[in-house]
Amino acid sequence: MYNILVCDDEKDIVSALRIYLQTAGYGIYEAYNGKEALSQIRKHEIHLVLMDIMMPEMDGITAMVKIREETNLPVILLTAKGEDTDKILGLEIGADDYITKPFQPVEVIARVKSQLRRYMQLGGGTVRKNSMLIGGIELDDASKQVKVDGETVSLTPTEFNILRMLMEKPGKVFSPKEIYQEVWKEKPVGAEGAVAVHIRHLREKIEINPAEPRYLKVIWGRGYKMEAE
Amino acid sequence: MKEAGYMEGKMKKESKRQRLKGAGRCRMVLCILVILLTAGLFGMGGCLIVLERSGIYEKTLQEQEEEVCRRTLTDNMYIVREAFQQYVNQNRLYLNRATILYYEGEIRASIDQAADTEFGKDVFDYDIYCFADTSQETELSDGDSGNDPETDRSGVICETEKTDFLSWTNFYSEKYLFAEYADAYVYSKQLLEANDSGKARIADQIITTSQYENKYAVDYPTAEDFIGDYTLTVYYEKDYKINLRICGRLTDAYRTAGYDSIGYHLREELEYLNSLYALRHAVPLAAVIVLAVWLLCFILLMKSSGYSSQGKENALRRYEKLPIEGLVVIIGGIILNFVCLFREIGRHTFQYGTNTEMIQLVACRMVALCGLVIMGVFYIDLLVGRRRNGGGKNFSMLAYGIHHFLGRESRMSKWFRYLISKIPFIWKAVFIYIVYSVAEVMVLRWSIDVKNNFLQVYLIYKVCITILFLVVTAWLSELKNGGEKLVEGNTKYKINTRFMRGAFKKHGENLNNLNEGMQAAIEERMKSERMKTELITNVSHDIKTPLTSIINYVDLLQKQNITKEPEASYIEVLVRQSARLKKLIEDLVEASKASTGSIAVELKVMDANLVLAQATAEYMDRLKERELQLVIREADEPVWIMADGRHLWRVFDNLLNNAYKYAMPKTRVYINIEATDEQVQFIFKNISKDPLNISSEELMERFVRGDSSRNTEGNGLGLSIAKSLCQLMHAEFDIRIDGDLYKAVVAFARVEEVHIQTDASGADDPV
Repeated sequence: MYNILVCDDEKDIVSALRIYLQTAGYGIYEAYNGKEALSQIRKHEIHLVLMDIMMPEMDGITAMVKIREETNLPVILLTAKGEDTDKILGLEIGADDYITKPFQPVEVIARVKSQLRRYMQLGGGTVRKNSMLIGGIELDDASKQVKVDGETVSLTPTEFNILRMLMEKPGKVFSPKEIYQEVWKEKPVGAEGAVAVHIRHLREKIEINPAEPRYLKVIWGRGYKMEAE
Repeated sequence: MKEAGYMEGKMKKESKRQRLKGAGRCRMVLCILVILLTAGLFGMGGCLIVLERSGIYEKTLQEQEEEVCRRTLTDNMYIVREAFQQYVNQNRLYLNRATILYYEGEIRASIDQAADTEFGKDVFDYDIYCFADTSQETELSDGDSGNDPETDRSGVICETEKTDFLSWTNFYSEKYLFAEYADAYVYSKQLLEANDSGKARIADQIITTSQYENKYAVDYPTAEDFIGDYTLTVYYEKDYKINLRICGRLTDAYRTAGYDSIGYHLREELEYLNSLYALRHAVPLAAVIVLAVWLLCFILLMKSSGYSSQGKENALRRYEKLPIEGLVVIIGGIILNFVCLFREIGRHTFQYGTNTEMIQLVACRMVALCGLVIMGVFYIDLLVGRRRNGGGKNFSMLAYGIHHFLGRESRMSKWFRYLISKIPFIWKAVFIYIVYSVAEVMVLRWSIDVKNNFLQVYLIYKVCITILFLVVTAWLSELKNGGEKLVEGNTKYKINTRFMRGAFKKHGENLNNLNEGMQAAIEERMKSERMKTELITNVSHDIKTPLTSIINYVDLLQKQNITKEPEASYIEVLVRQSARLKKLIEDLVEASKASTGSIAVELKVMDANLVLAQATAEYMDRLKERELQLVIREADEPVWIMADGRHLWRVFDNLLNNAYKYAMPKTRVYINIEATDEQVQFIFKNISKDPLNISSEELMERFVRGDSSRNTEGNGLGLSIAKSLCQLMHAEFDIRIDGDLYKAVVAFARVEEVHIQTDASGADDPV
């Protein structure tokens, strides 16, 4: 069983999260500020940290830095939406993911699962040949299978091809015309609409929250890209 | 505490008193010093003047000795001439030529004389001796000639033009011998008796060599030339001691001319001059040092003036209390007396014939000047002392009067300045120009009179005008700088108005005030901006935290799967309302951020068609849900706009969402892109489900919804946010309502196509 540390200065949030996570089958430790979080990590075996940013005594960012000095635990930051700078800063210094408040419990669970899987995989499994791994998304070209955080996702051939094309060059922005030409192997006439729709479906399938994608991102007016992590 | 302060004050006063006492005592010493130094200075000055005037100042010792002798001889030659003239007259001599020689301290004059004798024309030599040194005197009457012609240097030199000596000899029938050596002439001494035809004694044996001849001879063809010539150049070799004596028969003539020996005085005089001359380099140096010390004393004296030796501060003696005018009269009188005295001296010794007289004159003048300066120093000291302690009425009646009636604070002056300030600047400038032109004309007129010095006068005038011009230019330049800095927004720069005057100064001050006002306004604005941003951040966080808890627990409740009524419906309400609250707060924060401009905007070039396709793709399914048919018409060719991808998506998101929520189901939603040369327009049209009896402006207001009953979902912020975002992207956002037709237009400026690199540098624009 995995143990999760929940750290927030709001007691209600902490207890709510406790209930969700315990229902999902995780062990819970609690902390109400950064200092407590650090001591909990040192005392117990913890596999993942959910941490709020705005806390008294020691805020989330500082605690993050200190945690990273000692361990490589996955840390998910809880941020209020709009604190962009904090979010970026958090990711820069080593947080693995972020959840904006107010959050949907389902999303929380999904992200926790995703991060844990990744953390565990890092220790163990080898990446097979013809297989691409970006974050939690694993694409196996040989078997034409795609797994998101270990769970297989069924994609249409078109969707698969698009995903593969994007995953081959993570970070590169592909215009709809390029995608259309590559995948449909036809002249890109009226490509934008078709490609956009497929991307939309793809996103709904592989993203935890399609409205806020972590991997498959829209570059407005230019195209799409797969985020390199 | 009070006592300590009091003690401190008392001690300060006491020490000040001590200091003043010290200052007072110093004054006595300083006064004496000043007097002595002034005397010294003038003494030295006098020496320098004497040296200069005696004409020996810059020459070497030898030169000066020569010069002295020359002058002395020149000055005294007239004695010789006079004597000579008399002699000639008495003896009825016929003179052919005269030669004046000066050798070894002697002046010799020799005259060739031709006389008619019973034997024919006689030529004789007459020698006149002037011995410089009495020890060298040779009496003529003795007839001794014991000098060896070859070695005797103290003999007499004479010259003659006679070429045929033998014929001479023959004249004198064996009593007169001439011998001619290689470069010398020798005459034997012969004594002849004088007879009526005017033969005189002939010189002793004289020896000459040509070297002396050239050096010392001055020729006069006739006696008249000699007598008439007042410029004489003689040379002096040995000793500057001069003693004039004309011997022989001429001695009588000399005496009759009435002149005594003047050698003595001259000697003393020259000794004095010579000692001065030796000091001639030291004196200026010493003078400079003394001057420096004098200045120091003067300054100290001024600093300590007004303090008496008792250490009292306002110690003014009775005479010091008089107003300046009185002092002026008294002291002026004394000075005037001095001046008259010195003019008197000047008049008496107008022409100084000798150095002695010159020295006397110079001495008098120096004394007078010295006295003048000392008086002057003390007068100034008085003035300074008075100024320090007095002031007010007592200082000077005139000054007080002027100050009272015409000074800066006087009524008249204030009134005058008020008048001036009321005159507009242009009139003042015109007036100044007129005055300047008149002055220029006057200068020109005057310079015509001055003629040769016109250029100097004009130069002076030009310099004045130039200075004025430069000053005004400097002011204008400073003002210009100040203005520019203000425009740039540099609030630290302050115009330096201290050296400006009049309208310029006022202008500078105005600009500075403006600057301050601007600075204050900017700070105010920034403060309010900061407050707003903080407010948004804090409020949003403070609201979201409890909201998160609410949503979480409501969700937990939901998970309980309560089916019992009415609990189930209560839970449903909670779920719905908390979701609505969440949306509302998110939108509210976004709206205020967008309207205050505290959102980052990154404008990039993008393809309008593509953006629309991407946006509509997101809504395709949802719109299908409501059986709303999407009709898209793209532009014919690729069109490009400058927009922020994220924000533009948000705008489209709002509009499409509105269409989804409020369009009548089973109708069509039209989205067109229309492009002109300058603009690209996105036009969204749909039929509204509910009647829209509201103007478009109102609809775009916050919290206003088309549905006036406020039953449907939505909080009325969508359009407001969309409008703010468009403004941030410099795009136009407009709603038109015509009955049930709802039309939204988003207009961008069209830009040229730019080659876009689709590579890893693509920015991260979340959906």
